[in-house]
Amino acid sequence: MSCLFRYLSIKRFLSSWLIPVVIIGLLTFLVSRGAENINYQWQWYRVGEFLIQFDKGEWFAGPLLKGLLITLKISLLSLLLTLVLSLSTAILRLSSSIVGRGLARGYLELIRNTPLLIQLYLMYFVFGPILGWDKMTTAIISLSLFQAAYTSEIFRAGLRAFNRGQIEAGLSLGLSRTDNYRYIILPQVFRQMLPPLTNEAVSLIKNSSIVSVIAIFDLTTQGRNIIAKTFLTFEVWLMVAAIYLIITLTLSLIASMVERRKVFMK
Amino acid sequence: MSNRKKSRYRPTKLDGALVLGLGILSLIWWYRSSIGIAYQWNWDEAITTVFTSKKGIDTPFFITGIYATLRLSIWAALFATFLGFVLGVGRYCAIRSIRMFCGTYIQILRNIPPLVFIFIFYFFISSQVLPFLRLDELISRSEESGLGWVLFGPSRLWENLISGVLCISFISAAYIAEVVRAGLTSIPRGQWEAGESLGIPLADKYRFIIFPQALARIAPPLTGQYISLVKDSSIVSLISVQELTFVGSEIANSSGLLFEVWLLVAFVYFCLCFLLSISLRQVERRVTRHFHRGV
Repeated sequence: MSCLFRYLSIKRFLSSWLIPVVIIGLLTFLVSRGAENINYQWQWYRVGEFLIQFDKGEWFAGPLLKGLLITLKISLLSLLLTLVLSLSTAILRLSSSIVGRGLARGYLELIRNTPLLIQLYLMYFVFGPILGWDKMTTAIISLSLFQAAYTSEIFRAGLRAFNRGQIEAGLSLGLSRTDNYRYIILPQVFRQMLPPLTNEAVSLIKNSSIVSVIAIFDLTTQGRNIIAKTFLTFEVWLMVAAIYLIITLTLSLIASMVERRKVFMK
Repeated sequence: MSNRKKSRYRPTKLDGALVLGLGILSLIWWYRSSIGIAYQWNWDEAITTVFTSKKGIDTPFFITGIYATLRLSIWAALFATFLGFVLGVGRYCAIRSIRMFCGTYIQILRNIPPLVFIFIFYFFISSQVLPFLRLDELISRSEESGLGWVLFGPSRLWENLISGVLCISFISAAYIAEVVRAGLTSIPRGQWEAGESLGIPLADKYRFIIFPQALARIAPPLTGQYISLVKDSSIVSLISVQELTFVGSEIANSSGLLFEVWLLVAFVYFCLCFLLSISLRQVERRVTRHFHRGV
Protein backbone atom coordinates (compact mmCIF):
# COMPACT_ATOMS: atom_id res chain seq x y z
CA MET A 1 0.00 0.00 0.00
CA SER A 2 2.73 2.44 0.89
CA CYS A 3 4.10 2.31 -2.64
CA LEU A 4 0.67 3.28 -3.94
CA PHE A 5 0.54 6.35 -1.71
CA ARG A 6 3.99 7.40 -2.73
CA TYR A 7 3.04 7.07 -6.33
CA LEU A 8 0.02 9.26 -5.85
CA SER A 9 1.71 11.95 -3.78
CA ILE A 10 0.70 15.59 -4.21
CA LYS A 11 3.88 16.70 -5.90
CA ARG A 12 3.77 13.91 -8.37
CA PHE A 13 0.12 14.61 -8.97
CA LEU A 14 0.83 18.24 -9.78
CA SER A 15 3.77 17.52 -12.01
CA SER A 16 2.46 14.53 -13.91
CA TRP A 17 -1.29 14.99 -13.96
CA LEU A 18 -2.19 18.67 -13.68
CA ILE A 19 -0.66 19.91 -16.90
CA PRO A 20 -2.05 17.14 -19.10
CA VAL A 21 -5.43 17.90 -17.55
CA VAL A 22 -5.04 21.56 -18.50
CA ILE A 23 -4.07 20.58 -22.03
CA ILE A 24 -7.00 18.21 -22.30
CA GLY A 25 -9.22 21.04 -21.06
CA LEU A 26 -7.90 23.28 -23.81
CA LEU A 27 -8.49 20.60 -26.43
CA THR A 28 -12.02 20.08 -25.13
CA PHE A 29 -12.61 23.79 -25.47
CA LEU A 30 -11.39 23.70 -29.07
CA VAL A 31 -13.54 20.69 -29.89
CA SER A 32 -16.61 22.28 -28.35
CA ARG A 33 -15.99 25.47 -30.33
CA GLY A 34 -15.68 23.34 -33.47
CA ALA A 35 -18.91 21.58 -32.60
CA GLU A 36 -20.61 24.93 -32.04
CA ASN A 37 -19.58 25.94 -35.53
CA ILE A 38 -21.42 22.99 -37.03
CA ASN A 39 -24.35 23.48 -34.65
CA TYR A 40 -23.78 20.33 -32.68
CA GLN A 41 -26.06 19.82 -29.68
CA TRP A 42 -24.12 18.40 -26.76
CA GLN A 43 -26.17 15.94 -24.79
CA TRP A 44 -23.82 14.62 -22.17
CA TYR A 45 -26.66 13.91 -19.78
CA ARG A 46 -27.79 11.06 -22.04
CA VAL A 47 -24.47 9.27 -21.86
CA GLY A 48 -25.02 7.84 -18.38
CA GLU A 49 -27.80 5.56 -19.50
CA PHE A 50 -25.48 3.82 -21.95
CA LEU A 51 -23.24 2.84 -19.07
CA ILE A 52 -25.73 1.83 -16.44
CA GLN A 53 -29.51 1.91 -16.29
CA PHE A 54 -31.94 2.12 -13.40
CA ASP A 55 -35.26 0.46 -13.89
CA LYS A 56 -37.92 -0.80 -11.44
CA GLY A 57 -35.63 -0.53 -8.46
CA GLU A 58 -32.80 -2.46 -10.08
CA TRP A 59 -29.58 -1.52 -11.79
CA PHE A 60 -28.86 -2.86 -15.25
CA ALA A 61 -25.64 -2.75 -17.20
CA GLY A 62 -25.99 -0.45 -20.18
CA PRO A 63 -24.78 -1.42 -23.65
CA LEU A 64 -21.34 0.14 -23.17
CA LEU A 65 -20.74 -1.79 -19.96
CA LYS A 66 -21.93 -5.00 -21.61
CA GLY A 67 -19.59 -4.31 -24.49
CA LEU A 68 -16.76 -3.70 -22.08
CA LEU A 69 -17.39 -7.08 -20.46
CA ILE A 70 -17.24 -8.79 -23.87
CA THR A 71 -14.03 -6.92 -24.68
CA LEU A 72 -12.48 -8.02 -21.40
CA LYS A 73 -13.64 -11.59 -21.91
CA ILE A 74 -12.16 -11.76 -25.40
CA SER A 75 -8.93 -10.20 -24.20
CA LEU A 76 -8.59 -12.53 -21.24
CA LEU A 77 -9.26 -15.71 -23.21
CA SER A 78 -6.93 -14.52 -25.97
CA LEU A 79 -4.28 -13.75 -23.40
CA LEU A 80 -4.40 -17.31 -22.07
CA LEU A 81 -4.21 -18.77 -25.58
CA THR A 82 -1.47 -16.29 -26.46
CA LEU A 83 0.63 -17.46 -23.53
CA VAL A 84 0.34 -21.09 -24.59
CA LEU A 85 1.00 -20.37 -28.27
CA SER A 86 3.88 -17.98 -27.74
CA LEU A 87 5.58 -20.22 -25.22
CA SER A 88 5.37 -23.20 -27.57
CA THR A 89 6.63 -21.08 -30.47
CA ALA A 90 9.55 -19.85 -28.41
CA ILE A 91 10.43 -23.37 -27.28
CA LEU A 92 10.15 -24.69 -30.85
CA ARG A 93 12.41 -21.92 -32.11
CA LEU A 94 15.04 -22.82 -29.54
CA SER A 95 14.64 -26.55 -30.00
CA SER A 96 17.07 -28.79 -31.84
CA SER A 97 14.38 -30.06 -34.19
CA ILE A 98 14.57 -28.74 -37.75
CA VAL A 99 10.85 -29.17 -38.38
CA GLY A 100 10.07 -27.31 -35.16
CA ARG A 101 12.33 -24.39 -36.00
CA GLY A 102 11.03 -24.20 -39.56
CA LEU A 103 7.45 -24.30 -38.38
CA ALA A 104 8.01 -21.54 -35.85
CA ARG A 105 9.88 -19.38 -38.38
CA GLY A 106 7.17 -19.83 -41.00
CA TYR A 107 4.43 -18.99 -38.53
CA LEU A 108 6.23 -15.86 -37.31
CA GLU A 109 6.97 -14.54 -40.80
CA LEU A 110 3.43 -15.21 -41.96
CA ILE A 111 1.78 -13.45 -39.03
CA ARG A 112 4.19 -10.54 -38.77
CA ASN A 113 3.98 -9.64 -42.42
CA THR A 114 0.21 -9.47 -42.79
CA PRO A 115 -2.19 -6.99 -41.18
CA LEU A 116 -4.39 -8.13 -38.31
CA LEU A 117 -7.49 -6.99 -40.15
CA ILE A 118 -6.66 -9.24 -43.12
CA GLN A 119 -5.94 -12.14 -40.79
CA LEU A 120 -9.29 -11.62 -39.13
CA TYR A 121 -11.08 -11.49 -42.50
CA LEU A 122 -9.26 -14.64 -43.62
CA MET A 123 -10.20 -16.43 -40.41
CA TYR A 124 -13.76 -15.23 -40.61
CA PHE A 125 -14.41 -15.86 -44.29
CA VAL A 126 -12.10 -18.78 -45.07
CA PHE A 127 -10.83 -20.74 -42.08
CA GLY A 128 -13.86 -20.25 -39.83
CA PRO A 129 -16.44 -21.78 -42.17
CA ILE A 130 -14.14 -24.64 -43.14
CA LEU A 131 -13.28 -25.59 -39.58
CA GLY A 132 -16.74 -24.75 -38.25
CA TRP A 133 -15.86 -22.02 -35.76
CA ASP A 134 -18.36 -19.48 -34.48
CA LYS A 135 -17.63 -15.74 -34.44
CA MET A 136 -16.33 -15.64 -30.89
CA THR A 137 -13.89 -18.52 -31.43
CA THR A 138 -12.72 -16.96 -34.68
CA ALA A 139 -12.06 -13.67 -32.93
CA ILE A 140 -10.20 -15.22 -30.01
CA ILE A 141 -8.11 -17.50 -32.19
CA SER A 142 -7.09 -14.82 -34.66
CA LEU A 143 -6.29 -12.30 -31.92
CA SER A 144 -4.12 -14.78 -30.07
CA LEU A 145 -2.42 -16.07 -33.22
CA PHE A 146 -1.51 -12.45 -34.00
CA GLN A 147 -0.37 -11.53 -30.51
CA ALA A 148 1.54 -14.76 -29.92
CA ALA A 149 3.86 -13.96 -32.83
CA TYR A 150 5.02 -10.88 -30.94
CA THR A 151 4.86 -12.30 -27.41
CA SER A 152 6.99 -15.29 -28.40
CA GLU A 153 9.87 -12.88 -28.88
CA ILE A 154 9.61 -11.89 -25.20
CA PHE A 155 9.63 -15.52 -24.16
CA ARG A 156 12.53 -16.28 -26.45
CA ALA A 157 14.55 -13.42 -25.01
CA GLY A 158 13.63 -14.56 -21.51
CA LEU A 159 14.62 -18.15 -22.21
CA ARG A 160 17.87 -17.19 -23.89
CA ALA A 161 18.87 -14.80 -21.12
CA PHE A 162 18.24 -17.60 -18.67
CA ASN A 163 21.17 -18.62 -16.57
CA ARG A 164 22.58 -21.83 -18.08
CA GLY A 165 23.81 -22.93 -14.69
CA GLN A 166 20.22 -23.40 -13.56
CA ILE A 167 19.46 -25.70 -16.47
CA GLU A 168 22.63 -27.67 -15.95
CA ALA A 169 21.92 -27.93 -12.23
CA GLY A 170 18.49 -29.30 -13.00
CA LEU A 171 19.85 -31.80 -15.49
CA SER A 172 22.62 -32.90 -13.17
CA LEU A 173 20.06 -33.53 -10.45
CA GLY A 174 18.52 -36.02 -12.84
CA LEU A 175 15.39 -34.04 -13.73
CA SER A 176 13.92 -34.93 -17.09
CA ARG A 177 13.75 -32.22 -19.79
CA THR A 178 10.05 -31.67 -19.17
CA ASP A 179 10.47 -31.45 -15.41
CA ASN A 180 13.40 -29.13 -15.92
CA TYR A 181 11.21 -26.77 -17.92
CA ARG A 182 8.31 -27.10 -15.53
CA TYR A 183 10.01 -26.71 -12.17
CA ILE A 184 13.19 -24.79 -12.88
CA ILE A 185 13.02 -22.71 -16.03
CA LEU A 186 9.42 -21.58 -16.45
CA PRO A 187 8.75 -20.34 -12.89
CA GLN A 188 11.78 -18.09 -13.07
CA VAL A 189 11.17 -16.95 -16.63
CA PHE A 190 7.54 -16.10 -15.89
CA ARG A 191 8.47 -14.01 -12.91
CA GLN A 192 11.01 -12.05 -14.92
CA MET A 193 8.59 -11.46 -17.73
CA LEU A 194 5.58 -10.25 -15.81
CA PRO A 195 6.07 -6.56 -16.69
CA PRO A 196 6.55 -7.07 -20.44
CA LEU A 197 3.63 -9.47 -20.46
CA THR A 198 1.38 -6.76 -19.02
CA ASN A 199 2.23 -4.68 -22.08
CA GLU A 200 1.12 -7.58 -24.23
CA ALA A 201 -2.18 -7.62 -22.36
CA VAL A 202 -2.60 -3.91 -23.06
CA SER A 203 -2.00 -4.42 -26.74
CA LEU A 204 -4.45 -7.33 -26.77
CA ILE A 205 -7.16 -5.12 -25.30
CA LYS A 206 -6.40 -2.48 -27.92
CA ASN A 207 -6.37 -4.98 -30.77
CA SER A 208 -9.57 -6.58 -29.56
CA SER A 209 -11.46 -3.52 -30.81
CA ILE A 210 -10.85 -4.76 -34.33
CA VAL A 211 -13.21 -7.69 -33.83
CA SER A 212 -16.04 -5.20 -34.19
CA VAL A 213 -15.69 -5.67 -37.96
CA ILE A 214 -17.07 -9.19 -37.67
CA ALA A 215 -20.06 -7.97 -35.64
CA ILE A 216 -19.10 -9.14 -32.18
CA PHE A 217 -20.78 -6.93 -29.61
CA ASP A 218 -17.70 -5.56 -27.95
CA LEU A 219 -17.18 -2.03 -26.67
CA THR A 220 -16.44 -0.57 -30.11
CA THR A 221 -19.43 -2.24 -31.77
CA GLN A 222 -21.73 -1.11 -28.99
CA GLY A 223 -20.44 2.42 -29.43
CA ARG A 224 -21.11 2.27 -33.17
CA ASN A 225 -24.60 0.90 -32.60
CA ILE A 226 -25.51 3.60 -30.09
CA ILE A 227 -24.32 6.25 -32.53
CA ALA A 228 -26.35 4.74 -35.31
CA LYS A 229 -29.41 4.93 -33.09
CA THR A 230 -28.95 8.26 -31.35
CA PHE A 231 -26.46 10.29 -33.46
CA LEU A 232 -24.52 11.23 -30.32
CA THR A 233 -21.31 10.77 -32.30
CA PHE A 234 -19.01 12.97 -30.29
CA GLU A 235 -20.12 12.01 -26.80
CA VAL A 236 -20.13 8.28 -27.40
CA TRP A 237 -16.79 8.10 -29.19
CA LEU A 238 -15.12 10.18 -26.49
CA MET A 239 -16.71 7.94 -23.88
CA VAL A 240 -15.52 4.75 -25.61
CA ALA A 241 -12.00 6.13 -25.97
CA ALA A 242 -12.01 7.16 -22.30
CA ILE A 243 -13.05 3.68 -21.18
CA TYR A 244 -10.29 2.06 -23.22
CA LEU A 245 -7.83 4.63 -21.94
CA ILE A 246 -8.75 4.01 -18.31
CA ILE A 247 -8.30 0.26 -18.63
CA THR A 248 -5.05 0.31 -20.59
CA LEU A 249 -3.52 3.06 -18.45
CA THR A 250 -4.43 1.21 -15.26
CA LEU A 251 -2.74 -1.91 -16.59
CA SER A 252 0.35 0.07 -17.63
CA LEU A 253 0.45 1.71 -14.22
CA ILE A 254 0.35 -1.67 -12.51
CA ALA A 255 3.11 -2.89 -14.83
CA SER A 256 5.35 0.06 -14.08
CA MET A 257 4.71 -0.30 -10.34
CA VAL A 258 5.58 -3.97 -10.50
CA GLU A 259 8.70 -3.16 -12.45
CA ARG A 260 9.77 -0.42 -10.07
CA ARG A 261 8.96 -2.08 -6.79
CA LYS A 262 9.43 -5.69 -7.84
CA VAL A 263 6.41 -6.49 -5.70
CA PHE A 264 6.25 -10.02 -6.95
CA MET A 265 9.93 -10.67 -6.93
CA LYS A 266 10.69 -11.25 -3.29
CA MET B 1 19.25 -26.48 -24.92
CA SER B 2 20.35 -27.55 -28.33
CA ASN B 3 23.57 -29.26 -29.09
CA ARG B 4 23.77 -28.63 -32.78
CA LYS B 5 26.24 -30.77 -34.63
CA LYS B 6 27.94 -29.88 -37.85
CA SER B 7 27.56 -33.47 -39.03
CA ARG B 8 24.51 -35.04 -40.66
CA TYR B 9 21.23 -33.98 -39.07
CA ARG B 10 19.43 -36.72 -37.21
CA PRO B 11 15.68 -36.30 -36.76
CA THR B 12 14.52 -36.20 -33.17
CA LYS B 13 11.30 -37.45 -31.60
CA LEU B 14 9.96 -33.89 -31.70
CA ASP B 15 10.40 -33.84 -35.49
CA GLY B 16 8.33 -36.98 -35.83
CA ALA B 17 5.62 -35.70 -33.52
CA LEU B 18 5.40 -32.38 -35.37
CA VAL B 19 5.23 -34.01 -38.80
CA LEU B 20 2.53 -36.33 -37.52
CA GLY B 21 0.59 -33.40 -36.04
CA LEU B 22 0.85 -31.43 -39.27
CA GLY B 23 -0.30 -34.45 -41.24
CA ILE B 24 -3.36 -34.87 -39.04
CA LEU B 25 -4.16 -31.16 -39.24
CA SER B 26 -3.95 -31.10 -43.03
CA LEU B 27 -6.12 -34.22 -43.23
CA ILE B 28 -8.78 -32.50 -41.09
CA TRP B 29 -8.44 -29.41 -43.26
CA TRP B 30 -8.79 -31.41 -46.46
CA TYR B 31 -11.75 -33.34 -45.08
CA ARG B 32 -13.62 -30.23 -43.88
CA SER B 33 -12.95 -28.19 -46.98
CA SER B 34 -13.83 -30.83 -49.56
CA ILE B 35 -16.54 -32.78 -47.72
CA GLY B 36 -17.61 -30.60 -44.81
CA ILE B 37 -18.70 -27.42 -46.56
CA ALA B 38 -17.92 -28.44 -50.14
CA TYR B 39 -16.44 -25.17 -51.30
CA GLN B 40 -15.80 -24.93 -55.02
CA TRP B 41 -12.33 -23.48 -55.40
CA ASN B 42 -12.19 -21.39 -58.53
CA TRP B 43 -8.74 -19.91 -58.81
CA ASP B 44 -8.93 -19.34 -62.59
CA GLU B 45 -11.91 -17.09 -62.32
CA ALA B 46 -10.47 -15.32 -59.29
CA ILE B 47 -7.24 -14.51 -61.12
CA THR B 48 -9.06 -13.24 -64.18
CA THR B 49 -11.47 -11.15 -62.09
CA VAL B 50 -8.62 -9.59 -60.20
CA PHE B 51 -6.37 -8.85 -63.14
CA THR B 52 -8.80 -7.67 -65.80
CA SER B 53 -9.76 -4.03 -65.95
CA LYS B 54 -13.21 -2.65 -66.32
CA LYS B 55 -14.31 -0.77 -69.40
CA GLY B 56 -12.79 2.68 -69.72
CA ILE B 57 -10.18 2.24 -66.99
CA ASP B 58 -6.76 1.07 -68.01
CA THR B 59 -5.50 -0.44 -64.75
CA PRO B 60 -7.38 -3.26 -63.01
CA PHE B 61 -9.16 -2.28 -59.81
CA PHE B 62 -7.04 -4.62 -57.70
CA ILE B 63 -3.80 -3.10 -58.99
CA THR B 64 -5.02 0.42 -58.22
CA GLY B 65 -5.62 -0.84 -54.69
CA ILE B 66 -1.99 -1.97 -54.43
CA TYR B 67 -0.81 1.40 -55.78
CA ALA B 68 -3.04 3.19 -53.30
CA THR B 69 -1.67 1.21 -50.36
CA LEU B 70 1.88 1.95 -51.47
CA ARG B 71 1.14 5.64 -51.94
CA LEU B 72 -0.64 5.84 -48.61
CA SER B 73 2.19 4.07 -46.80
CA ILE B 74 4.93 6.19 -48.31
CA TRP B 75 3.28 9.54 -47.57
CA ALA B 76 2.21 8.39 -44.13
CA ALA B 77 5.73 7.13 -43.37
CA LEU B 78 7.24 10.48 -44.35
CA PHE B 79 4.76 12.51 -42.35
CA ALA B 80 4.85 10.17 -39.37
CA THR B 81 8.65 10.30 -39.27
CA PHE B 82 8.57 14.08 -39.25
CA LEU B 83 5.87 14.27 -36.61
CA GLY B 84 7.43 11.49 -34.56
CA PHE B 85 10.82 13.20 -34.46
CA VAL B 86 9.20 16.51 -33.48
CA LEU B 87 7.24 14.82 -30.69
CA GLY B 88 10.22 12.74 -29.56
CA VAL B 89 12.53 15.75 -29.37
CA GLY B 90 9.65 17.67 -27.78
CA ARG B 91 9.87 15.28 -24.85
CA TYR B 92 13.31 16.78 -24.26
CA CYS B 93 12.23 20.38 -24.61
CA ALA B 94 13.21 22.81 -21.85
CA ILE B 95 9.66 24.12 -21.60
CA ARG B 96 7.67 21.87 -19.36
CA SER B 97 4.26 22.22 -20.95
CA ILE B 98 5.59 21.26 -24.37
CA ARG B 99 7.18 18.23 -22.79
CA MET B 100 3.88 17.44 -21.13
CA PHE B 101 1.91 17.97 -24.29
CA CYS B 102 4.09 15.59 -26.27
CA GLY B 103 3.96 13.05 -23.46
CA THR B 104 0.18 13.23 -23.25
CA TYR B 105 -0.21 12.88 -27.00
CA ILE B 106 2.03 9.82 -27.05
CA GLN B 107 0.31 8.23 -24.05
CA ILE B 108 -3.20 8.75 -25.36
CA LEU B 109 -2.48 7.59 -28.90
CA ARG B 110 -0.65 4.51 -27.71
CA ASN B 111 -3.35 3.58 -25.25
CA ILE B 112 -6.54 3.77 -27.25
CA PRO B 113 -7.27 1.19 -29.94
CA PRO B 114 -6.28 2.36 -33.43
CA LEU B 115 -9.77 1.54 -34.62
CA VAL B 116 -11.39 3.86 -32.09
CA PHE B 117 -8.92 6.59 -32.96
CA ILE B 118 -9.74 6.17 -36.63
CA PHE B 119 -13.45 6.61 -36.02
CA ILE B 120 -12.89 9.62 -33.77
CA PHE B 121 -10.58 11.07 -36.38
CA TYR B 122 -13.12 10.44 -39.10
CA PHE B 123 -15.91 12.26 -37.30
CA PHE B 124 -13.94 15.06 -35.66
CA ILE B 125 -10.95 15.98 -37.69
CA SER B 126 -11.81 14.79 -41.15
CA SER B 127 -15.05 16.70 -41.21
CA GLN B 128 -13.53 19.88 -39.77
CA VAL B 129 -9.95 20.16 -40.93
CA LEU B 130 -10.34 19.08 -44.51
CA PRO B 131 -12.94 21.69 -45.45
CA PHE B 132 -10.69 24.21 -43.74
CA LEU B 133 -7.84 23.32 -46.09
CA ARG B 134 -10.05 24.31 -49.07
CA LEU B 135 -9.03 21.21 -50.89
CA ASP B 136 -11.98 21.13 -53.24
CA GLU B 137 -10.89 24.40 -54.84
CA LEU B 138 -7.41 23.02 -55.34
CA ILE B 139 -8.81 19.89 -56.90
CA SER B 140 -11.06 21.75 -59.28
CA ARG B 141 -8.16 23.93 -60.42
CA SER B 142 -5.66 21.12 -60.96
CA GLU B 143 -5.43 18.96 -64.03
CA GLU B 144 -4.61 15.31 -64.31
CA SER B 145 -0.95 14.95 -65.05
CA GLY B 146 1.30 11.90 -65.14
CA LEU B 147 3.52 12.81 -62.22
CA GLY B 148 0.60 13.96 -60.08
CA TRP B 149 -1.10 10.65 -60.68
CA VAL B 150 1.97 8.68 -59.66
CA LEU B 151 2.46 10.75 -56.50
CA PHE B 152 -1.07 11.41 -55.34
CA GLY B 153 -3.35 9.22 -57.44
CA PRO B 154 -6.50 10.40 -59.23
CA SER B 155 -7.52 13.85 -58.06
CA ARG B 156 -11.05 12.85 -57.16
CA LEU B 157 -9.57 10.68 -54.40
CA TRP B 158 -7.23 13.32 -52.96
CA GLU B 159 -9.42 14.11 -50.01
CA ASN B 160 -9.73 10.41 -49.38
CA LEU B 161 -5.95 10.00 -49.54
CA ILE B 162 -5.26 12.91 -47.22
CA SER B 163 -7.56 11.69 -44.49
CA GLY B 164 -5.99 8.24 -44.74
CA VAL B 165 -2.46 9.60 -44.60
CA LEU B 166 -3.19 11.89 -41.65
CA CYS B 167 -4.95 9.14 -39.79
CA ILE B 168 -2.19 6.55 -40.09
CA SER B 169 0.59 9.02 -39.48
CA PHE B 170 -1.01 10.43 -36.33
CA ILE B 171 -1.09 6.92 -34.88
CA SER B 172 2.33 5.91 -36.13
CA ALA B 173 3.92 9.19 -35.00
CA ALA B 174 3.18 8.34 -31.36
CA TYR B 175 5.08 5.08 -31.66
CA ILE B 176 7.94 6.66 -33.61
CA ALA B 177 8.16 9.41 -30.98
CA GLU B 178 8.61 6.76 -28.32
CA VAL B 179 11.38 5.15 -30.39
CA VAL B 180 13.10 8.50 -30.86
CA ARG B 181 12.82 9.28 -27.17
CA ALA B 182 14.37 5.93 -26.27
CA GLY B 183 17.19 6.64 -28.72
CA LEU B 184 17.82 10.06 -27.22
CA THR B 185 17.76 8.62 -23.70
CA SER B 186 20.48 6.17 -24.67
CA ILE B 187 22.92 9.00 -25.37
CA PRO B 188 25.11 9.52 -22.28
CA ARG B 189 24.52 12.76 -20.37
CA GLY B 190 28.13 13.75 -20.91
CA GLN B 191 27.47 14.20 -24.61
CA TRP B 192 24.67 16.69 -23.98
CA GLU B 193 26.72 18.54 -21.40
CA ALA B 194 29.76 18.59 -23.65
CA GLY B 195 27.67 20.21 -26.35
CA GLU B 196 26.37 22.80 -23.93
CA SER B 197 29.73 23.59 -22.45
CA LEU B 198 31.20 24.16 -25.90
CA GLY B 199 28.45 26.72 -26.46
CA ILE B 200 27.01 24.95 -29.47
CA PRO B 201 23.53 26.23 -30.37
CA LEU B 202 20.63 23.90 -29.74
CA ALA B 203 19.96 22.99 -33.37
CA ASP B 204 23.62 22.31 -34.05
CA LYS B 205 23.89 20.27 -30.89
CA TYR B 206 21.15 17.97 -32.12
CA ARG B 207 22.48 17.93 -35.65
CA PHE B 208 26.16 17.28 -35.05
CA ILE B 209 26.31 15.58 -31.66
CA ILE B 210 23.11 13.89 -30.61
CA PHE B 211 21.46 12.66 -33.78
CA PRO B 212 24.48 11.04 -35.45
CA GLN B 213 24.83 8.84 -32.38
CA ALA B 214 21.15 8.37 -31.68
CA LEU B 215 20.20 7.44 -35.25
CA ALA B 216 22.11 4.17 -35.10
CA ARG B 217 20.03 3.19 -32.09
CA ILE B 218 16.80 4.55 -33.51
CA ALA B 219 17.11 2.80 -36.89
CA PRO B 220 16.37 -0.83 -35.95
CA PRO B 221 13.10 -0.20 -34.07
CA LEU B 222 12.16 2.48 -36.59
CA THR B 223 12.25 -0.01 -39.46
CA GLY B 224 9.92 -2.21 -37.45
CA GLN B 225 7.57 0.74 -37.10
CA TYR B 226 7.51 1.25 -40.87
CA ILE B 227 6.44 -2.33 -41.40
CA SER B 228 3.65 -2.02 -38.88
CA LEU B 229 2.65 1.23 -40.56
CA VAL B 230 2.10 -0.62 -43.84
CA LYS B 231 0.07 -3.20 -41.97
CA ASP B 232 -1.92 -0.61 -40.00
CA SER B 233 -2.81 1.08 -43.26
CA SER B 234 -5.31 -1.73 -43.79
CA ILE B 235 -7.66 -0.47 -41.08
CA VAL B 236 -8.31 2.86 -42.77
CA SER B 237 -10.34 0.83 -45.25
CA LEU B 238 -13.04 1.01 -42.57
CA ILE B 239 -13.43 4.73 -43.14
CA SER B 240 -13.64 4.07 -46.90
CA VAL B 241 -10.13 5.07 -47.84
CA GLN B 242 -9.72 3.18 -51.08
CA GLU B 243 -6.69 0.99 -50.54
CA LEU B 244 -5.93 -2.68 -50.93
CA THR B 245 -8.20 -4.00 -48.17
CA PHE B 246 -11.10 -1.84 -49.30
CA VAL B 247 -10.61 -2.90 -52.91
CA GLY B 248 -10.27 -6.52 -51.79
CA SER B 249 -13.54 -6.48 -49.90
CA GLU B 250 -15.30 -4.82 -52.84
CA ILE B 251 -14.06 -7.46 -55.27
CA ALA B 252 -14.76 -10.31 -52.83
CA ASN B 253 -18.31 -9.14 -52.27
CA SER B 254 -19.11 -8.41 -55.89
CA SER B 255 -17.62 -11.59 -57.34
CA GLY B 256 -18.54 -13.92 -54.50
CA LEU B 257 -15.09 -15.54 -54.63
CA LEU B 258 -14.49 -14.84 -50.95
CA PHE B 259 -11.83 -17.45 -50.23
CA GLU B 260 -9.64 -16.78 -53.26
CA VAL B 261 -9.76 -12.99 -53.11
CA TRP B 262 -8.97 -12.77 -49.40
CA LEU B 263 -6.11 -15.22 -49.76
CA LEU B 264 -4.77 -13.12 -52.65
CA VAL B 265 -5.03 -9.91 -50.63
CA ALA B 266 -3.20 -11.55 -47.72
CA PHE B 267 -0.54 -12.79 -50.13
CA VAL B 268 0.01 -9.31 -51.59
CA TYR B 269 0.35 -7.78 -48.10
CA PHE B 270 2.76 -10.54 -47.17
CA CYS B 271 4.91 -9.86 -50.24
CA LEU B 272 4.91 -6.10 -49.60
CA CYS B 273 5.87 -6.40 -45.95
CA PHE B 274 8.34 -9.21 -46.47
CA LEU B 275 10.18 -7.36 -49.24
CA LEU B 276 10.12 -4.21 -47.12
CA SER B 277 11.53 -6.00 -44.10
CA ILE B 278 14.32 -7.58 -46.16
CA SER B 279 15.33 -4.28 -47.73
CA LEU B 280 15.03 -2.36 -44.45
CA ARG B 281 17.24 -4.97 -42.81
CA GLN B 282 19.95 -4.00 -45.28
CA VAL B 283 19.57 -0.33 -44.40
CA GLU B 284 19.63 -1.17 -40.73
CA ARG B 285 22.81 -3.19 -41.13
CA ARG B 286 24.40 -0.28 -42.96
CA VAL B 287 23.44 2.20 -40.23
CA THR B 288 24.49 0.06 -37.30
CA ARG B 289 27.65 -1.16 -39.03
CA HIS B 290 30.00 0.35 -36.49
CA PHE B 291 28.39 -1.56 -33.63
CA HIS B 292 29.32 -4.91 -35.13
CA ARG B 293 32.81 -3.99 -36.17
CA GLY B 294 35.28 -5.26 -33.61
CA VAL B 295 36.70 -2.36 -31.64
